Amino acid sequence: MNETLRHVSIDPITRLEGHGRIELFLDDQGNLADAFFQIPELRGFERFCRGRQGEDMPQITERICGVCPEAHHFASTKALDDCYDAPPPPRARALRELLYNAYTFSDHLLHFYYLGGPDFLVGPYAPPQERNIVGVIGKVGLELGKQVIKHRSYGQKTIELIGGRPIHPVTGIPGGQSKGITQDEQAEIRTMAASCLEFAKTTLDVFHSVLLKDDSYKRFISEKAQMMPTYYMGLVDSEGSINYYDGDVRVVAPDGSLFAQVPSSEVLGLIEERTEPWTYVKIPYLKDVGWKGFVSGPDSGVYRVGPLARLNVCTQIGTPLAQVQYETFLEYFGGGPVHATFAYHWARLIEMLSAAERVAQLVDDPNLMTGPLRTPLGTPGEGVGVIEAARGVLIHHYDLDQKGRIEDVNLIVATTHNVAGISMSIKDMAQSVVKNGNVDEGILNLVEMSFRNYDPCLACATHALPGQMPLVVQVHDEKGNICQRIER
Amino acid sequence: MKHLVIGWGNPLAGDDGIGPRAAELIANRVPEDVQVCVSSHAGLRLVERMRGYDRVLLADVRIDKHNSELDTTIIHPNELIPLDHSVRHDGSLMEALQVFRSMNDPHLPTEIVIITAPVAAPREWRAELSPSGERAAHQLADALLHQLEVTAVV
Repeated sequence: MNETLRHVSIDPITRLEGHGRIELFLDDQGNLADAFFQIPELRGFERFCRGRQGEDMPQITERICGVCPEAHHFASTKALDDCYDAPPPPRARALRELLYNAYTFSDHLLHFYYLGGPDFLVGPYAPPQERNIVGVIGKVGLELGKQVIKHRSYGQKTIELIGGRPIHPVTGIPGGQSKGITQDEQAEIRTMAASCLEFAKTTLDVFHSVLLKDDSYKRFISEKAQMMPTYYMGLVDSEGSINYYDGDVRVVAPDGSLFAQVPSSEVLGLIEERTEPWTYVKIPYLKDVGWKGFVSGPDSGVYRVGPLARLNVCTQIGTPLAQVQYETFLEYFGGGPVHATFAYHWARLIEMLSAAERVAQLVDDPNLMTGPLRTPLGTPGEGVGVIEAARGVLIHHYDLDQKGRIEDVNLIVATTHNVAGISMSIKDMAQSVVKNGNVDEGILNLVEMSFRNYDPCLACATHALPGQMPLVVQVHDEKGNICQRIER
Repeated sequence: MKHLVIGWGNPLAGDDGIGPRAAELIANRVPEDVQVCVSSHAGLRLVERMRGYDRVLLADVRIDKHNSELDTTIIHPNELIPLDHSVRHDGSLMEALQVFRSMNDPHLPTEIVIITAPVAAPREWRAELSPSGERAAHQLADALLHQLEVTAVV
């Protein structure tokens, strides 16, 4: 690395030592030379799991993350299904998929209104004290704010009724589910699902009436600098529709052609992981394309996951209302795949609608209330569980010994798949705003916006108490001394 | 008055699990109308869990190498100032409370008592508390019971 570069560090400081950091390196002209997204994650989880009973893993792994325990719970459960060669019976599958779509709806709702949406509903250049949910309410009205709270609670309640607890689900077990739901609970979910579906439609209306008429958002989704033609990976069902819970792993090339489609248990054959000296996270890439560095294009094995990737790999959505929105989305961009990173926000809302539709469908699935809840287990062995976390493909890979104890574990989470893409997006954004050594607070907003597209999961970093999670920019001179510090 | 006790932290992350352990210690010692739970969730979900209760006791840890005492902070959500920055990915407890306060949520608790035990070590993957962590969990449990008693719940 060139020692004359200046070093800019954007470091969220938390109670438990920061879990995400953006490193910007400036050249001697003060312009951006390089950018890296670091996750100094806690290591040793695999070792911690070894020797434990496999059936404990759904409860253990859901504690990794304070934001999406449902994704880890069911990726783990599915890995155990595979380890024991015990696919869940139709009733258990319907219960899992119902819960899982409620989670997807709820997570996407949170992101749009609380996290990513304010950047555009209020405006990317609005002062921080306005660019949040308060500003959103000012823009769209307090009543919508109440609806946000109400429908988040509906999503959580559905998860609780099926998952057995309001916080961390406990009902996923190898080969099935430990309990079903009563007819009263089914009726309650049905009522909530109808309301969530209406709210998802309302949210798309807000998107079309506010964001798609907003010049700044339109600019961000059409600027060449924000286009990143990479490969995309996601789950699809047998008809090519999006499926958050299960399906084949499909990868499409930057030109939209099919690169690979394999059963999810074979996903690890598609990727390799590499290490970099500046981060603990292994960076996966497509093995058959190869690693060419942090670059996009058909010759680079960099791929992306998450809402935009899922819309790029599917051939249809699979639910009628979201299908209409998907076609509008493709028409806007002149067809797929869509490479505009800021289109992640739009894709997320289309998915929110599709998840709400699936909940409304699944609550009346004929398999939901009758039939066995569990398949008898086979002999323990190796297994892979793949699921679509809200932010992308989540892989759990276990190896069990003859007594069902964990011998080996490998987890590849959505944010890990996206690390290369996030680094590249940050670099693209920073290049457009850091000029001649001018680094001010505005860069915090814009760089934050660029990685917020991916909703990277730095859950531990948010477990901060008391007060806010500060964001710090440190500018280092060519000798490594701090010459500027920006904090809020 | 509806009470909720939350042991907040990750029981698989060594002494970060002191809050959950304290909640476990008091679970069978509180009146039936006091709910006790454990949470490893980040801010927004944590506050969603608090909705509908009048008073919440939150048992947690703080990194503090200099002060070995428990620390008690009382928050009245209705008195919080508006949010002055955007929230990333999820949010801290205070950010989340401010979000719900901003939306005039009528179901927020009127009082949140946060009691923290100090820990010195950085977090690690371990399902057991250290000996000092176990002692701290018992102190935290006593403090939680004391809080419940002083408001005449027990």
